[in-house]
Amino acid sequence: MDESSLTLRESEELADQVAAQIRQQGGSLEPAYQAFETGIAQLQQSGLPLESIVPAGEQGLGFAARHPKDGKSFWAIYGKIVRKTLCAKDSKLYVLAHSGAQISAASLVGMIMAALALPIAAIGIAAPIAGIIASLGIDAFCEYTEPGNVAPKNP
Amino acid sequence: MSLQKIREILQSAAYMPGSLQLEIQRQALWNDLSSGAKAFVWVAMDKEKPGRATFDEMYGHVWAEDEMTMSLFAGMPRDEQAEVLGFFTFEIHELTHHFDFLTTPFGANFHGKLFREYRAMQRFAPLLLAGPVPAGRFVDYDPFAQAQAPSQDFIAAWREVHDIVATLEALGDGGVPPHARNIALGWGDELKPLVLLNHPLDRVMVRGFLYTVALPDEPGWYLRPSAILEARALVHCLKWICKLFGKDERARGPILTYLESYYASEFAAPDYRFLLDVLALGWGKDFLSFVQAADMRLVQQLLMMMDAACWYALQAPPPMPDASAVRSSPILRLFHALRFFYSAFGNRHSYSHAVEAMTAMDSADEAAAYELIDISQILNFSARFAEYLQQLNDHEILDPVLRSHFDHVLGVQHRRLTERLPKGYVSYSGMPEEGHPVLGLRSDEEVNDLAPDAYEASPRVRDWLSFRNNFMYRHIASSDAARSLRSFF
Repeated sequence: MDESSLTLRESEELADQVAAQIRQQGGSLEPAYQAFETGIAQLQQSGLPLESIVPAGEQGLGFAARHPKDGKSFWAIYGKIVRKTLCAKDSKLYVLAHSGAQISAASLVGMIMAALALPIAAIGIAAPIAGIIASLGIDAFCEYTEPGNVAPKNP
Repeated sequence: MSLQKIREILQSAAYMPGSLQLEIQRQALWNDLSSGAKAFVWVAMDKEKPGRATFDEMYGHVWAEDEMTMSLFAGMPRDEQAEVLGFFTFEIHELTHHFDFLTTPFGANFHGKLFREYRAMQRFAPLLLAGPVPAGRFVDYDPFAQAQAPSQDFIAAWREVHDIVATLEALGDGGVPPHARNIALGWGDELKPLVLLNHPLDRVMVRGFLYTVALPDEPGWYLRPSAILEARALVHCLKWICKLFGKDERARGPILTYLESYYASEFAAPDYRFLLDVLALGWGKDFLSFVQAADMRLVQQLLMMMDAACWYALQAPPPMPDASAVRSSPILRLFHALRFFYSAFGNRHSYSHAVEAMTAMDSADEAAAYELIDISQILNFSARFAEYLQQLNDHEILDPVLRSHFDHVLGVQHRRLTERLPKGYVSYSGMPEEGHPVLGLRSDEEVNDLAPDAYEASPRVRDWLSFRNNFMYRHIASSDAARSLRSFF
């Protein structure tokens, strides 16, 4: 593992911290954006390009393709992909959401890494995603996704 | 708010070079235009009946020739002006890509590699599927890192795929830069910055063969062919806006609105403006500042130079038996062309047409260092290259759907490159006078091959192209990769 990457334990602590900060700031995702920037820097230090963790369709050349410059613009692009994958009705997150169990941000990190097939160097990006989901609640995180892709609010 | 929505829709618009498809949410684009922009579109198109706009309605009017259109445009808020400029140019942008990939030697190289990659995967996938599919990106996969030594057959098949994919990656395929370890500072022992139009840029070598330069302040990014393709597409749109506004001072405001609304550095990838900035720096300014201050004739001259330099770059052939990777580098051809144009401008050496300048570039003092050869030799080789691959495809590709797709693409390229042979650099659609490539089509055969609705790739083809983009360059679950590979091979 790259020396600059977090350990699993550190990333779980970070996830809990981010979740707590989001709650303290009344739902503002600013703490997660800051954590994303650190996580992106760690990924890039490992040599992997940021784009390598973002699934895509067929390669295209666009009119004005977006380019993530910071944590906020990264989440604007990646958040949609994360929701599409994690909120699918056959996902583990959907099962968790309907199990009634109390879910901490820390407990979500490993599941997110596996579900998004992230390399270990991207663990610093998985942590704030876990923080966002835990602070908003799985239902709230998924409910504003496009209908059809997501778990219904009250199944 | 409307401009933000329009920007989002246009940001998702894309030309898919592998399948030759243009993706754009046309209805959403129309629906989300503000009411002021919609009203302007009706007037500008002189449209009387509802329904999808015809080509003539979209592109058959010069706004500067109609007082009412100009006055309506001037009266709109800047955001609405940006909306309509995006509405009337997005197709020109994507069609430029379509034509570039089907009519140039660079396009033949690109599609040739996509074909050869599929052919190599046809051999390699069954060997890979005999064991667990490894985690991680295929382009980084190292079979020698496995505990058990792979067989010779496995290594040979892997190497064939890997070498093609690594080359495609370096050329910018997938939109993912290579792992940092594959981008080395300097060109061999030459570590001094490359001075391009008085502007120092760090030299980098990608995957040991692509001589290029790093993009300032963009970690991992370097000048790659996509920047050439995007610069040309943007230039064609700017030329079209110039035409709409009478090719004079009246075009300055709309061009600035367009650049600031869609290509500001805070949200657009660096590929779009990097080359225009480099060229404008020859005059001591970035491109936006240059457009703000320069005489509009000079602005148009700079656009013409960039268009021609990029067109020259895209004539880089697929690898030729008698040459090194230098001859096949669109980046080195671009450097040569930019320096040539800039020097000619400085020396007040004028050419009657860009094609005359390009012919002179081929015989310049630096030509030997760039391994340049006559354009007719390049076109001849590229046409025969496409024809040869078409024959291989016919004999060797087992999947009838993929075989049919490659046959179509390689057939179009063979015909277009053969047709270009007696004309050399001359191409009315390659360097369209006013920016719109469709207006450069001259024959029914060209229309049949190049019209955007002339071909629709099968869903299976699109699934393959989508899968290979993820499998080769992105992290996907091994189980998903294995399932997809089994469905294709």
